[in-house]
Amino acid sequence: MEPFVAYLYRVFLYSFPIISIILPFFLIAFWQTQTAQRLMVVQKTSIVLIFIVVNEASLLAPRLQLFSTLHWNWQGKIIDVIWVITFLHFYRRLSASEMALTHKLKPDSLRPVVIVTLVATFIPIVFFVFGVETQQILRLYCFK
Amino acid sequence: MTMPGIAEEVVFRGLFQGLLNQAFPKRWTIAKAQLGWGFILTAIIFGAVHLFSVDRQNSIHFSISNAMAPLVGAFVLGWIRERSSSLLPCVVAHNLGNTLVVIGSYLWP
Repeated sequence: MEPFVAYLYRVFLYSFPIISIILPFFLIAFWQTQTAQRLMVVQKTSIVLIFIVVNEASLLAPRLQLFSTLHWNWQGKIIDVIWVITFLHFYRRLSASEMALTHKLKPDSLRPVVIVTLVATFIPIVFFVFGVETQQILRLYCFK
Repeated sequence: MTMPGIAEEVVFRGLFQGLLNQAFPKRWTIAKAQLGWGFILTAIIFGAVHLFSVDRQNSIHFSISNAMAPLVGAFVLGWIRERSSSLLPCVVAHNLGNTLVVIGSYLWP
């Protein structure tokens, strides 16, 4: 198989089960939406579903020499962010504040957010210490 | 070590939750945060994405236990995002969590 075709095949194999898992939840949310809003809902959710495939395509892309020796998938993550910036450049209907791209926190949110942030920090370690079989899988989680 | 956290927060809590919040109205208030289907769907997507992992040879691994922490974490990070209206605390929490996971992998091999 040609390398590019094999790459596309891997992206499909990877994206298809993810979309299959989340699609029923999208349908439940869709059915609870007012009929007049459904076209807009389809548009927005389609963008999200396309970006899930784009996200996987970025992560699975063959590594350039520059990134091949790095432990973390820097290349995939950088491509991911570039895709988002490119999308936002052309799609003007999502503002920075709607994306929460600000360093300013809502008034009176600092204290609860700091407390929950500290709790959230320890969620992965609790799960992974007790839930994951091998050190290799543990590293794969962060590597991705 | 910070890049995975930054990229995932921008894509998931930023782009996905932003778009889905536009699509679905916020219906509920939990601990002073306005939440809707956008919050739930983003968390489920984040968990589903972590059901699978890809190693350096592009081999795909499937693990439910791998997805549990990201799923629970995504609900917490989604709440933080809505409560603070900022991705900054989400990025901090995500990267601190990742750092502890790596440290934990060496302490409990």
